[in-house]
Amino acid sequence: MSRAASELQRVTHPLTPGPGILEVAGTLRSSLVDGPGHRFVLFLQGCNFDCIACHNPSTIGRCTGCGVCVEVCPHGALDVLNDAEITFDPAACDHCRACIAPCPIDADPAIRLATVAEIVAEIHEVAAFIGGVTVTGGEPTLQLDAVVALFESLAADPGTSRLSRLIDTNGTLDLAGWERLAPVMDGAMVDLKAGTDDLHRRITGQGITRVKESILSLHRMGRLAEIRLLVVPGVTDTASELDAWSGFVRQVDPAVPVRLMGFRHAGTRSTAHHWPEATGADVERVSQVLASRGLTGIAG
Amino acid sequence: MSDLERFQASISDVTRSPVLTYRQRLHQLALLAEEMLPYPKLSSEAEQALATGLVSDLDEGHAPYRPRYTLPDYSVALSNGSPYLELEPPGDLEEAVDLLQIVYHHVPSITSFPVSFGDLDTLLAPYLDETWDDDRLDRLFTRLWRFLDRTIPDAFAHANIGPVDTPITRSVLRVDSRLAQVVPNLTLKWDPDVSGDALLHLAAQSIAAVNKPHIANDPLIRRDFPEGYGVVSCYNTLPLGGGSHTLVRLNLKESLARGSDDIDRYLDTVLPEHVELAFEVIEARVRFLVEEAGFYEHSFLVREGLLHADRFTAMFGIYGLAELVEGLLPGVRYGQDPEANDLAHRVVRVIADRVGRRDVPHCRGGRATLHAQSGISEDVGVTAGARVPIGREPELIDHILAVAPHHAMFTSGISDIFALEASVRANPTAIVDVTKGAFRHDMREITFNVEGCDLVRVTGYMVRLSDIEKLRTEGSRINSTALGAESIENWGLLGRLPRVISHETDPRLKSVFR
Repeated sequence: MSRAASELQRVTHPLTPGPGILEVAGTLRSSLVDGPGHRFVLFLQGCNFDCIACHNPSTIGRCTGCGVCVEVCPHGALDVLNDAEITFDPAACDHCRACIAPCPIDADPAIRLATVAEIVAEIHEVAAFIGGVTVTGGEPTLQLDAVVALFESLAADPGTSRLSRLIDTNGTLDLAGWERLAPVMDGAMVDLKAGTDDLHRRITGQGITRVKESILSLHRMGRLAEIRLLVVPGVTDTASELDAWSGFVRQVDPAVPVRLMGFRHAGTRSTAHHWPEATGADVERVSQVLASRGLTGIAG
Repeated sequence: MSDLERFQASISDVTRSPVLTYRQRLHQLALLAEEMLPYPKLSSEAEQALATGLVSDLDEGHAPYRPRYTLPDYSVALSNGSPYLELEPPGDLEEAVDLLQIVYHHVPSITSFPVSFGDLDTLLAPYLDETWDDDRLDRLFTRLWRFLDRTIPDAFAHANIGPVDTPITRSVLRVDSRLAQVVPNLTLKWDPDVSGDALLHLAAQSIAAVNKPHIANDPLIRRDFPEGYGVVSCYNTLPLGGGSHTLVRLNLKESLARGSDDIDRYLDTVLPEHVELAFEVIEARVRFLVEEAGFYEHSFLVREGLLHADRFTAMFGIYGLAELVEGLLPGVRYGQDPEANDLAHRVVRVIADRVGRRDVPHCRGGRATLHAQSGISEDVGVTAGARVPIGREPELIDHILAVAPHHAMFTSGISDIFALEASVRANPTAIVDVTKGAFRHDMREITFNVEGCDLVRVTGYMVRLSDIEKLRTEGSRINSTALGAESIENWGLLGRLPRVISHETDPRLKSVFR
């Protein structure tokens, strides 16, 4: 019930969420691919990376209220409020995503603001059927206060306390932030998108140092659930990149769980389409190379 | 053409069929001969109901001479041996397996093959000693699995394991998922307090590979069967040492077509009349089997205590619940709309209440048991049992929540199949989570079809997709493949994977030679 009510609330962009309010790009009641087991997934809006290969680019930017999308909406779900603000009416939206095409930052205006209690109530509806909750995005740690509050609520609630609490992160949060999350989070799944700083900057627009620091900190705190590498043939799987990547991971812990994901065009922007998709054989080859470099925690 | 000429033409078709094996021909000839006899005496209303498809006896035949499903208590033969078969009690595990293989040969059912191989781990674990390591066990069960699949070529034949986690339980799971055979079908009885999570995780890995085992909510089902139970055929839960004399089903879509579209009037007067017509057919069949054919007087399985006449029930099946509900409430969608789901639960309660009160002679406790019948290959345009129509299933969790309230009422089983994407293969723990959730919501049993497996479920039994193609030109070694082929065409299983279709039996093998 709470979900239906909150979904029907009008949203004004740009958003100015208050404390404890989550900027939600979407939820998934049933996921098989966002961590171990059957999971509820919360997608938060906004990311401080701008990865070429992002498969969910409409979660990167936050709507500025410029209004170029208003005329495009075939359902009248968007309206100009004033020069600097637009409103979004979820009741009218049919999720055709036509509004994203004209947006200069590919931002989705069809998002909602939810309180921690509302998200907890949604999780309650499916709690019997899931093993855990994954918060992803976007970059969920940009909404650190609300995510910490959410995990605290889930941990305190007897109906949800058994669920594992994971986040899926680009690893840019600082140590103080991880220290706040660690007591209420079971683990973080961190993307390490390249082996070298140079390639990392090309792919994400940001340096690699902060990500490596996060991985080391999380491992020290016992909260590193897995490190992920996106296999882009000819880009992230060259010998020098894999050397650097495996060298760092080995230094963290050769047994740390590693997940390889094959690059796909689906969902990505056209700027990524000059990169080839990864085949099963590409991923298998990278898996063998990493194993030969001494990594022992590689999963399919 | 006279009746005799038609009969001769049917016989001729079977004897000359290029695709039926000797044994399949023999079974068909017996069925044709049986159907030349008059049906057990019925009122003209019940006769009419059978003739027009309101009530269906699944082509069980006109002169029932063996129960539809038998679930022998094989532990009796293991303890005592068998005087009839001149067998001493086995002294070790290999002798115990030998004895079971011999007894299976003598166990009848509607398919002419046994439907139950028993609780293999519970039966055989007492014979384990220090000489049995995992390798040796796997070799033994590989041999047994090959024997069952090659000599009992019928996919309704079912082995059970659990709830206790023994070395045999694990060996069976390893062997079964490695061989990926149609026979035996497999059910794990899972009890959270007895089996442990590790066993459920192993089962989940098997499911991800071969869509087996089916998982039964052991503590919940055991409450209905204190004497013990087995899961056989298509999700039928029946008493151990007994079974079911017959399965007669009521077509709820047809019921509505003959009745009122006013909900209260339908539920108060029309439905109860139709339920009673099905009961009349059940009673006539049970009386013939028990009083005329005398199966329970003549079978050595009864005489030696593997079967008990008073542990046989009769199964009251229903199907077409979706069409009934959507006919009574035009515009609603069963599975999606709470109003439709509530009405569906109300309809089933009315039927369950009748089944719970109506005396049936020669039945365990004097009662039949309610069953959500999975359909047969000829059912076109009628949804199996209490299922949500194919292709209209809500997302996984809503689907479970919509059907779970039915489960308490279907004592002899209800089949819902849940489709999972292939990505679950890299994450079988998800199967564990969903199963536990379903059992927390009091589902009796749960089964999955994982996208991309060669071995798929068609109602409850397994079919190898790669066998389907071979069928028409070469015939199939396994009876049920023919049933799978027909239902796949009728319901578009291949086009809709992982959406799942259902049917239980095509006793006339119409897909092969009609």
